[in-house]
Amino acid sequence: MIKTYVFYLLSLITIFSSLGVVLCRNLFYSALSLGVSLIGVGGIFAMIKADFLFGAQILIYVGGILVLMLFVILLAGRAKDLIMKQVNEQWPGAILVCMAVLWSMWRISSRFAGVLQRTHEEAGTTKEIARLMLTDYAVPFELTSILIIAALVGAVLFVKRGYNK
Amino acid sequence: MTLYHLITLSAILFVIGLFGVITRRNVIGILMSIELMFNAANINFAAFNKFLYADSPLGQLMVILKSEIRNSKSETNSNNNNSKFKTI
Repeated sequence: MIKTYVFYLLSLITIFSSLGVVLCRNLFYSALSLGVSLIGVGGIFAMIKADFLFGAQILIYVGGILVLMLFVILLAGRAKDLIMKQVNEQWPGAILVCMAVLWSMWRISSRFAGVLQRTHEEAGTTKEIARLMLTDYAVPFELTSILIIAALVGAVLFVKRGYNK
Repeated sequence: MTLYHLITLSAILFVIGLFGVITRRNVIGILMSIELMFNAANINFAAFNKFLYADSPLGQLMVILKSEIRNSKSETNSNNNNSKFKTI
């Protein structure tokens, strides 16, 4: 019973802070509420016993990506970005598109309304993730590291081209 | 808390992110909205793995691989916007 309350609390926190990300005028505040939203999603990961994902969510997203975005906003932002109205004139059409997408997603997801948990396995899954990552899925794991190196080199190239102009 | 609740939550998050992608003026704002959409997809991966295929954590592995790709994307984008902080 208390699990249900915790789930609804986490969902409300996540949804309202996501609305804050989208609707805040100040870009700094919306980055901070993105952090709250990421923490809420991490809490939901912890509730469905994905403990490694919980740790990775807190460490990588809240500690890494969010700090990166705050750096970009504070170093490269202009003062106009902190007070300007952040929603452009397309918002009525955007609301229509979002309602259509939400309705179709709800139609799809209502098929899973009666699905209960089929298998019961309550042990932590970190060991099994590591085993899969080092045996069966070693090639995709290494390919992502190549992708990260390519992204670093690409970022340096972009910045360099911007300076040469 | 069933699978239906989790899918509904991720659909709502995805739609909020989609609204942000359509209507934000800043590149950084669009990037944060895309992060929200990625989060919704992550919840879906973990929920389906937990409720339908709990015998092997393949969905969680996919979340981790996708998060590495996401990391590289956001590094590139942030450095790219560093030189010219565009406003759409």
